Amino acid sequence: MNLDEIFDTLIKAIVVIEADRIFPYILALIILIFSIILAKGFSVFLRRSLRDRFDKDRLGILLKGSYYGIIIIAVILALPLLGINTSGLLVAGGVTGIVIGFASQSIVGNLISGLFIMAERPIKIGSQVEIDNVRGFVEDIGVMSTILRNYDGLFIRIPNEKVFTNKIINISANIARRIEYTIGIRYTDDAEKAIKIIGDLIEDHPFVLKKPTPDVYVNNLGENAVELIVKAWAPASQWYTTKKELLWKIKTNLEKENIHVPFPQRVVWFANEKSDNNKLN
Amino acid sequence: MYGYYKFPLNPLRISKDGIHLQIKKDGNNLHYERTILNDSIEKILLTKDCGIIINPIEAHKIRNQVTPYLLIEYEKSVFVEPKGTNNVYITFPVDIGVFISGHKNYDLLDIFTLAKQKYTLYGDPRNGVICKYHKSPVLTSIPTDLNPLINGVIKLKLINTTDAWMEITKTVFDSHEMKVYFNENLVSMKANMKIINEKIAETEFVNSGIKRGMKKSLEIFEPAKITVSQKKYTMEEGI
Repeated sequence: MNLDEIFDTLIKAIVVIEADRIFPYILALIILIFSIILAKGFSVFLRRSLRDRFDKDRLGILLKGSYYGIIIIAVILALPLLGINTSGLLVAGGVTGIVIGFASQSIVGNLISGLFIMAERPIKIGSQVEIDNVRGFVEDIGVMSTILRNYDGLFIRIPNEKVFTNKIINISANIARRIEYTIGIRYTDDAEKAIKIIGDLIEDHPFVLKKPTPDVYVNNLGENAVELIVKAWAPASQWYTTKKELLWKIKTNLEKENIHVPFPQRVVWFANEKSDNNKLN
Repeated sequence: MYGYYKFPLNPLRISKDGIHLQIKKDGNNLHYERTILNDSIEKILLTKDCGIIINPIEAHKIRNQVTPYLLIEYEKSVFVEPKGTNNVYITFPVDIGVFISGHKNYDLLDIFTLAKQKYTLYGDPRNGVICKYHKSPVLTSIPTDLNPLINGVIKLKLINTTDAWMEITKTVFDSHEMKVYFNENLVSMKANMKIINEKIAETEFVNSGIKRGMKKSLEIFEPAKITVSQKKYTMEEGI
């Protein structure tokens, strides 16, 4: 073996050793680059999917959170390749996580509920809703809480966990809403005439919708009154006004035709009435 | 009644079919007053010279801005033969717009109607739309007994693109796209209804009157006023 051959062999050995040493660094770099590409791709995907569901500021926070989250996970995965033991970090992180988790259980619950509410969108800003027995307009849907303005004009903050776990009634989700009344008339009144009067009023009122077809009928022969049911639909935006107007018109128009809402009454017969009358005579 | 009333408007008095409209001097300005049945409105016009244009306009959101859609239900349903194209005439409720004009510009001053106001739901409460409702006969010629202050005529071309007989009971229009034409005796529009299948149809307006010499009304939804992007309305909840 001459000097050149020895030199070549030595060089090859050094290259193999260096390659073994450099390889983990290259792999870590590849993981990092791949994670950045993945994070960017995921951000673009999230932006496109959630653009209509989140407002700009909140979407920005979510995108940044997901972007850096993916990169941090990649770094933690890459660190053992560089000979850095992350088990201690993970243990410390785990313990810290448990402590923080217990301490901020409700905060995290509200945060996660808020994200789900934003994604599921059972309510929108401006909707009229009933949540946890509070009725009003949705003023804001935050990450931690939802703000309602009730019909008295009061500001009400409801934690998102409560919003998410409670029954939500969205009053304005549909474009039409039904109006229903029960109207009692006397047994001596003509029920068919009353039905016609109410039907004419329904036909004349612009906001009582032609379809779904309104319905008026005798529903019950009550103790004191013949009970008529009135079912009609109105645009959700006009429901309250229409309901108010129509009921009063029904009352006044029935009275104009001498059809009255009866008072509760009971006819009492006395057992000795006949004999008393005989005595008087 | 329809037309352009030039300066000087003091005084301007119009009374027709229960519509009372007047403009009179109020100090240095003008005072607009309109009464129709139990509904009246007054406005102050801070100008000394302006013109007034009274036009029939597209079915607009007169009361409380409920909807831009108009549903016309036919008194009798119509059957269209496979691949057939037919013209029919239906009526529509006229809305009347009073525009103030001057200084090379105009704007809507007042809007009212003599036609009966009624609304309906097209589709279901979840996915449907609230529409202004009108019931119309289906005619094969232009009706001659209509009051142009109350009802107009739509020449509707029914185009059946399917291989089956199609029964049509109603048509829904988007009033953003309405093109209203008028003369002294008639208010009209021209529209097409393309039947895609037994549930779906497309409606669109044609920018033309149904008689020669008819004048085009001013549009509220002109591109300069409100941007309108959609040209057709797709009826997806049944025909």
